[in-house]
Amino acid sequence: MSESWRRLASDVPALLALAVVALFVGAALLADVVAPHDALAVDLASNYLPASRTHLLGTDHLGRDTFSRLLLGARVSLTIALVATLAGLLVGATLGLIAAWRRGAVDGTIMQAVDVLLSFPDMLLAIAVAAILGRGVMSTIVAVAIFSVPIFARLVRASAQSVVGADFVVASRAAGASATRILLRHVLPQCYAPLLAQGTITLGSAILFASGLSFLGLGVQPPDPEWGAMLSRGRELLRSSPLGAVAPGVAITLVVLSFSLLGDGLKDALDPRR
Amino acid sequence: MKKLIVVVLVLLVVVACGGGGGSNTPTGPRDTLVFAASADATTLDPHNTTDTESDQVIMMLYETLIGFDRDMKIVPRLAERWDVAADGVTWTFHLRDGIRFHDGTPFDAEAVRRNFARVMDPVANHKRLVLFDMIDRVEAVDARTVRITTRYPFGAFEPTMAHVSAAIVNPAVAEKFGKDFGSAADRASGTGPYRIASWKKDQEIVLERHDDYWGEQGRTERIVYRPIPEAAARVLALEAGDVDVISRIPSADIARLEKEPGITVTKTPSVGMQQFRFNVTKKPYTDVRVRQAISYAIDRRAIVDNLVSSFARPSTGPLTPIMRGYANLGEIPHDPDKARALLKAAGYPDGFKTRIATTPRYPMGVELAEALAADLKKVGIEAAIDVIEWGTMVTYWAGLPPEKNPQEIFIMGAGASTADADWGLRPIFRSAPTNENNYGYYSNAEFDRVIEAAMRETDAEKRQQLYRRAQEIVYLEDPGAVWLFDTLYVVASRAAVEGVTPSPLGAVTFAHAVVR
Repeated sequence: MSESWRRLASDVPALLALAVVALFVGAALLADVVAPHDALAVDLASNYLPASRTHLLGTDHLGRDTFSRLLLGARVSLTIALVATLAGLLVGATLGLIAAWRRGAVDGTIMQAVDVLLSFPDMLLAIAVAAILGRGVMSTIVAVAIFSVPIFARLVRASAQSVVGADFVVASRAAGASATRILLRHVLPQCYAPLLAQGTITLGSAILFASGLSFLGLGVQPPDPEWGAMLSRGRELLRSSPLGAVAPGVAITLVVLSFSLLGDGLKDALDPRR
Repeated sequence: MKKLIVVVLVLLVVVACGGGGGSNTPTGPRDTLVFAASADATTLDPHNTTDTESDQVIMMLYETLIGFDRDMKIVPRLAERWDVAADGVTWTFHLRDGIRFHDGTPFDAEAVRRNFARVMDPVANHKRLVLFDMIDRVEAVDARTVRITTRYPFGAFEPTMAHVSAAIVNPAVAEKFGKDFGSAADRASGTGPYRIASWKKDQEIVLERHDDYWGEQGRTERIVYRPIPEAAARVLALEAGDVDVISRIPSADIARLEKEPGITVTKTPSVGMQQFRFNVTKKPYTDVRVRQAISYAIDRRAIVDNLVSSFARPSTGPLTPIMRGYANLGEIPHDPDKARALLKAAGYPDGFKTRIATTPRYPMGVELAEALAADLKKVGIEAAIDVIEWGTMVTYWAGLPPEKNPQEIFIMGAGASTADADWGLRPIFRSAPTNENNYGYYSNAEFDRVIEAAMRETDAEKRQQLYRRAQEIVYLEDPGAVWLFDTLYVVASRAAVEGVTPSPLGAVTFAHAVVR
């Protein structure tokens, strides 16, 4: 492990990415404390203000402070991404483990189901989910989770397959350990490294995906701030009041890029073959 | 070598002169004007149109017997004069002579009769059938005289006849294509100043000047309608000079365009208004005091001055000043204390929870809902917002019985296409079991009585008094909506464009437009 850390520490892009992620996570956690204004306070008389000392990123249509909304939006976006990724990981990993362990028809059925899921265009799937569950945070989480299940299932199955036949697994089987115990104690830990790397990358795409949904009006509903929704509303004013769209746009880009770089860095650092 | 240099020099001189000459000598008006529409026309059949993007092309291709001028006064068109008999139901239209359809067929009284037979055919069930509900029969007295008899004296008959759906299509072509009339370039024929040359769906409609037009000839040879659905892209296309005229401009861009040299912005008072309606069958909106409380809780001035100032004026009644029958009832004051008192009297001293449905299809639709919710919060009402896309939104307004409609407060843009109080009030607030037009199930016995009497009243002054009473009821006595603002119809064009005709109906036409 220390070897992995050393490798990660020498990966400058990954370290920078880690710093950006930490910054945004910090902002999300401390949004209430750090935000200079109430992100939901409407004050029509002071709308469309340009950036200033009191309003670092100006104000939006309704006179709400864009910087404060960006911070609170970080919380919304990151929470959605985290919950959805964890849910996708849990379901995906379980499916992958079962497929690897039972093999044969069970494996075939699960993996085919996963392939079917994978073949759906992401957005179409999400729109279907929003249509069934109604728009809002919950359906966004479900949609993003569903879309991240296949990748985790495949990843865990591939990693698990390489160890289910290993001597230590056969030994614990012979010793009478239950399948659940073997999978959780012996097989799953072998998948931690790729899961961590993939999970980080998925967090990034989850944010992008959730923003896309909100951009289309299917995700987080107003007046709650969310980056995609902010971008969508600010877009019309790109020419006259650009910060309203540029700020959330840059935030999305930075965070998604950072998660992606960090994930790549982790993948390299944790790769046992290196 | 020397020869070559001389040749090059001569060429340079020629090019330089040519260039200079080109920019100094006016080349005369351009032969094409390009308009960026927000969407393609859905049909070019006036009897089936219900959207503005179609209407404004239709208004170039076809004409009505009588029409509106820019101030919504009734003026002669295909009919040179008309009169109504003492019985109030017999209207006689005297048609102009020598008018031909685009294919050369003469226009006559029989064509008018066949048109009304078409739009009023219950079997064909064209979308505008209900608009002509009051007509009993249409007869061709002779080649140039049409007699239309209404089932009862109908006060708004003239504006109804000036409506785009009363336009006269070439009956032979319409009968040949039936329901498919108006669906392609070779399936549209009228008497208008322009004829259709081509129509590539979602790409462009090209109109060309109708050289046999009876009236003043068009000044531009071709008018091109190019759909650009994204509003920001439309503005960019205008600024880049790719198109000459645009409408449906994002509100925040209007102020910026006004300052830009080379671009002209015109704002026309219109029949359009923006409101949020109540579903009066949902508690607590069954209580008139709750609806009044919400009316007083909204700070309209703040909304109009800050959010929509570039295209709105505060509402002064349930109709806009340009409409026939309008009564100025004044702005509803912002009075949160009164709102709280009314809520208390209605049994909601601590307010209640509700939902506001909105759609970004209306300019600032989402922001308006948010501003409303913020104002309501100040009097204790917690409003959650549902942003719904247009396709879903209209399913809630498609003739549902109240028990199947979950909406509580919902955004609504209104604008009577006859610019008359009858069409602006009767369909949308008269009691009805389902919500085909009365989307919020508004029901008030006195309103129903007054509106029915007004419809049959042909005496202008009595009619005005009845409509004033109807407006008082629905505006604040027993509110059917939160009235917010009247919209201005905004058109932006390159400074070189002249003679564009924006209509208070929210459509723009180019019969006399020219690009210098």
